[in-house]
Amino acid sequence: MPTPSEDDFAAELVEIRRSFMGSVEARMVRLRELLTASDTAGWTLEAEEEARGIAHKLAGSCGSFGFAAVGDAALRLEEKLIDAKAASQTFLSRDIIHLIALFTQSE
Amino acid sequence: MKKPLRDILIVDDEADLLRLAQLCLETLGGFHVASAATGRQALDCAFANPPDLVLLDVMMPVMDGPTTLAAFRADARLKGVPVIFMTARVRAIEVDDYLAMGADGVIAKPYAADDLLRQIREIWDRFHADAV
Repeated sequence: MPTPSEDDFAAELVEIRRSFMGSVEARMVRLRELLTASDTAGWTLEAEEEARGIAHKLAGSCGSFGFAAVGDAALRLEEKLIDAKAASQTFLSRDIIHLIALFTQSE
Repeated sequence: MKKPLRDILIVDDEADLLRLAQLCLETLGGFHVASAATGRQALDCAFANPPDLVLLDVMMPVMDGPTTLAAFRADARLKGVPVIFMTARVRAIEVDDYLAMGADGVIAKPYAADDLLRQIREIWDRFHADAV
């Protein structure tokens, strides 16, 4: 039978993961908002920077919580955002849609 | 004689990652762990209770990891504390850049708990071996 400390550890892990999923959902909502805005205004530098920041944080955290595929997709998105010029945004909307879909499938 | 690693300060603006790392380091590693969500909080925490080692996220708003590291190195009390950067983007050239900034190691994110512990201990051992 697990010791109380092992139960506490497991319970806290579950709670932290639940909290993390909530934060990722909020970031996916924000990415959708950026996508919607880009449909009318195109991708601005500010929007790109914000998307890059979200991608970076997801890349660094998702794998630790069991969302490795989402983290990998976020890292690829971040690297593309760093390498691409502002005018070359054809991949951006597509890759963000893919990232959101990956997370939705992972939940 | 090498000092045992006991007090770790972990700095990350990702709250859940901070909680996860603190839980793992305390429960699995047996360390005494303090946490900070910003570079400024990290400095305030370290001034009050100098840690044995700092785990420092690179990309944070307002005061990023490199700026925070520079502040540590500029303080007489904290300049000798080993600092390990943690970042999602760790290419070889970036590791060299971070070490050139004065970091004592770089750990890639995401990390598994046991791998985090192993890397921390390796960097701690290497830090003390280099100091001899």
